[in-house]
Amino acid sequence: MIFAVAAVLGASCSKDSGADNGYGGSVSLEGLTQVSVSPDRERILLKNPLSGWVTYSGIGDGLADNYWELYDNFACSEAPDGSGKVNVWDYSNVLYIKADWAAMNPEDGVYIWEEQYQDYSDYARRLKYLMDGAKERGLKIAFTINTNSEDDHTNSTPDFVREEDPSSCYSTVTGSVTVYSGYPDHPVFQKYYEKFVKAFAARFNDPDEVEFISGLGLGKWGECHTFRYSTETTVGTGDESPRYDVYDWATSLYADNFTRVPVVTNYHKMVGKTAGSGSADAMSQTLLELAISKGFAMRHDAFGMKGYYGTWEKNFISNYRYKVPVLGEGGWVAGSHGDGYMGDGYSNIRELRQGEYDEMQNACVNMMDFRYNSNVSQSETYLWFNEAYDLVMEFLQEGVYRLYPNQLYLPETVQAGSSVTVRSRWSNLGNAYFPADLKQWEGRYKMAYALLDRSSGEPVRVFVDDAAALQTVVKNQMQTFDTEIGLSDVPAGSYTWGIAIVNTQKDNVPAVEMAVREESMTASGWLKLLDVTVQ
Amino acid sequence: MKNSIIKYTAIAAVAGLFMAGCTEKVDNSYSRFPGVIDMTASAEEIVLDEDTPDDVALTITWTAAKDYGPDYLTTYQYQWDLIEATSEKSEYEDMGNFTRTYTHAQLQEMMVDDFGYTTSTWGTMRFTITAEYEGTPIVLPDEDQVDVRVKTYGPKQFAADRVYLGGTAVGAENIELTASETNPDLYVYNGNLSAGEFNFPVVYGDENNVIIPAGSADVTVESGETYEATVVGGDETVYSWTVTEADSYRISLNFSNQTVSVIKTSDIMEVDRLFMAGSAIGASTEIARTLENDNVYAWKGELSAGTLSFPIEFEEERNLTMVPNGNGHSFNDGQGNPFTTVNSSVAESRYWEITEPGTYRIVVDTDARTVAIYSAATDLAPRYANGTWSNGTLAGYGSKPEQNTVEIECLYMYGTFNSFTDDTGIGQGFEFAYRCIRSLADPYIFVYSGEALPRSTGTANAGSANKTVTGGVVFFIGPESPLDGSDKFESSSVQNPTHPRPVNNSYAFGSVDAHSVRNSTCESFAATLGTPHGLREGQDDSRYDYFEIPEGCNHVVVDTRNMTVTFSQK
Repeated sequence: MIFAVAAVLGASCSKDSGADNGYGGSVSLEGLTQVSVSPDRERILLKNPLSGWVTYSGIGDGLADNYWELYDNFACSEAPDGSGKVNVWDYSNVLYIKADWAAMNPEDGVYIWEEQYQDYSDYARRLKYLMDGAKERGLKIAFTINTNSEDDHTNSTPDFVREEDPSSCYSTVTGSVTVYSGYPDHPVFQKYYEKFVKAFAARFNDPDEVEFISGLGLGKWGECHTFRYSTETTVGTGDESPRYDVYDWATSLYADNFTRVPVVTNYHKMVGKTAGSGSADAMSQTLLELAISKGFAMRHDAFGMKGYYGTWEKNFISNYRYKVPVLGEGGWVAGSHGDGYMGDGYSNIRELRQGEYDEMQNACVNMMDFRYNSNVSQSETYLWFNEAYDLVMEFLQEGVYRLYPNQLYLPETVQAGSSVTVRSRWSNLGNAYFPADLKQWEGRYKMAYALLDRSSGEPVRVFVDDAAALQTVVKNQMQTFDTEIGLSDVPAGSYTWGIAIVNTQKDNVPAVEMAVREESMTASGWLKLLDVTVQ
Repeated sequence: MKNSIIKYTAIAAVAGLFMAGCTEKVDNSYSRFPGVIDMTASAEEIVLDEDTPDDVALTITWTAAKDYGPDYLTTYQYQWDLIEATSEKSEYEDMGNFTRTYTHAQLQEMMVDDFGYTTSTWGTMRFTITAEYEGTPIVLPDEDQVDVRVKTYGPKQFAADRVYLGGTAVGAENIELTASETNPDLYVYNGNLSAGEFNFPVVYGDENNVIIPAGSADVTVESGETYEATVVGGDETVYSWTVTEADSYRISLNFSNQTVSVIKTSDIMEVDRLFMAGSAIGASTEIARTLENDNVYAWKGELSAGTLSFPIEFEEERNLTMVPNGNGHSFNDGQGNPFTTVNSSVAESRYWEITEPGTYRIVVDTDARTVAIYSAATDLAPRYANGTWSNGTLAGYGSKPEQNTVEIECLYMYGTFNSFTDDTGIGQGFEFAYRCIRSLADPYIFVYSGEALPRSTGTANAGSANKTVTGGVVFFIGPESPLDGSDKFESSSVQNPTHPRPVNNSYAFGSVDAHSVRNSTCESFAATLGTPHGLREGQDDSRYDYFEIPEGCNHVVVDTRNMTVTFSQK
């Protein structure tokens, strides 16, 4: 039998100390051996979920035909081996694919990810190219879908929507090209978008393949601002009466269909509004809280832009620190904004990157962005690797969550059939938190002990602690968890205590890398702690 | 393989400590206790040895930090920095290794390669250990540090705390030099040198070094040359600069450029301002630099019988004086007399002697290194109008004056360039600001120097012929002082006491390339910056031969001897 007593013990302590140390109470440590663990502060914990650098791509015409070749051998003046090249995938484990709804769903019932449509269009061929490359490299993928055509040269909303009801869409002009976007409150738009999202989720609501889905795909650039609703009487009247209903509908659409993959949406003061900038109103807060209540994580796409990432955004996200994961994307685009960033007080690209980094660290982001540009040497990815390589590494070593058990109490001998209460104390060396209680993960990642075979290092028995709240282990706030382990079915013999954060949905295999030294771990990812004899 | 797990057996007392910690209120009382961590260095001063790179040079150790019990996680951070470089590096010490050992080569690499410090230089390495605690209640970190003076090895620095000039050219005793007040990297010697050798013994920290010619050989110096220098230890082979001629010299050692410059005092020609001194002039009087030539200075005025020399002001000091190139005091009247420069302190016996009081013109040419002294008998003749007078009667000269009777005192710019704007009291189309002033050094030269000339567009008129011209200009003769009331240049045909026109309708210099014809065609010639363009003169067609002033022109030299005008930008 396994049960955790951390919550009970912590209550009495935190009342006075303000932190849950878990000491005191009735749990006896007598006869247990204290084990101290040294952290690893440098090793890149590349494959941890919802953590680290996100590398951007897309299925539009700007995607380089040799994307994988470029990113496998990416120019980097600070390459550790002095070669001038790095493999981006040594720094990032997530490929972010940006796509228009119309490209993914060009005809009613046609979805380009399906095998029979993989040659349907250039978009389809690029999607297959990207997904195949990600699979080959063991990367997770992530998506964002855009329905809004503003600033695009092609329609983001499929033509069949407008063909069924012309009033479902409105036109804008990009350069000399007229493009059409769906009104997000229009019933025809909603009918087809629902159909698409359900089909999309049917394929990609898969945590083995997909890291996250960035919704909602509405508003300008899909960033949930500068909406236009069908209730506008003339162009630009700015009627916002459908605002709440549309947001409620769209968030439910994503949350209800992507049940196993994190969903993310933008936080800013203009959520659902018909403008892209201006004064905040109470509705933005209400709508974001609505999304969070449905399990959404947050993202912001203008970090470093002082006119867009302002006091409102900083205050909002500080209220959700360590409660909601945050994804960061910089706002300034070197390749298209020229030196406009200087207006925000940055003297050069290095200072811009530093500014973005600092703001994202203040928001305790879980993930940062390697953005794409068809001219690779002007891409944000290139500039990170060549103007701010130290920050690339700093995020991996100090920004992302880095959990490790710094102290444990374990028995060296136990009686078969008995039970024993053991203790672990955890630290997080990173700025971000580990969102173990994320809704879509459904309790996937949990702390577990194991009795390891001394020769093979493989677990003979695994004891999962369902109660250890790893999401509460945040920087400078250690947490202690007591775990009662029942040994009724363990045969007598010699073992080694091990600990890991396991995937409970995948046979309890270690799934979240801890910030401990590799030489202290087994091949399968268990941290070896102490030899124990079961008598 | 490092052992990352530290193990020890807990005893019952440990649990007791836990309980005590848990019942404490939030209290910072722990932080009031002094720290106990103690860091020590194996040496206070180290001279790194290039010959023993792998030998241990320094060991830093520290004791465990204050123990707040198992409720706290203690994290050690070890930092090292070079105070002179304001750089620092740090690392966490998570393995319980409370010592660091450095070889000579490691310390050298740390200071020179990592922190960019100079070779063969003393610096201060600071080592700090900080123990931070995670737990509640919050306690302050425990910290200690040590400083170690370290001298790097490698090439000597081209630097000095004290600088001397020494060698057989100097004499038995070295002469200590001091840094320039305005340039701390510059050390200058002004004085005599014998034929012989010199170099610069210097003291830098604990080193006695010598600054010598770069390259492994002695170098014979020539006046006006600059030589690369290097530094060697006093115990190494030392080379020198060689002086072949005893004379007064200026020797400049520049630590920034790592050069040595040698120049005879008599060859120095650095002039900010030039003055006249001696009993012939009385109070020190400045000679103005001419507008047409930065190397020429000119003056005209009264001199008494007496001595005359020319102190040079450079960087607000008058250390040198121009004097006759030789021991005599006479001069060739009206001709260039060679000069030399000597230290002002010894200039008293070196002068030109003015024997007759009177009006003199002085022209100093620092390029030609001559001083021309013109008495009234030899003074430069003015320029006279020697072209055609077609229809005018000048108040001062009568009708159609004879050639070479009208002295050209000044040239006034006239044309569309300023939209024919005029100042009050001066003829229509003329402004005081746009005059070409006669040079004191050469009365045939007339110069405008000032703001960039306007280039307005307007209609130029040649009697009944018109032309639209941008920046059009011709040069009319006129009085040096147009408001003296003489009206001597005024044409009688347009005399009007209420609107005096002292220069217009008079005698002009225009472009020889324009080919205007009065009452027939009005033409212009596009001048270019920096190019001499031909002139023609007279009171007829040349009045309409417009130059088009080039853009940006702020300097005009009219040379009536060579009949050219040069528009330029200065």
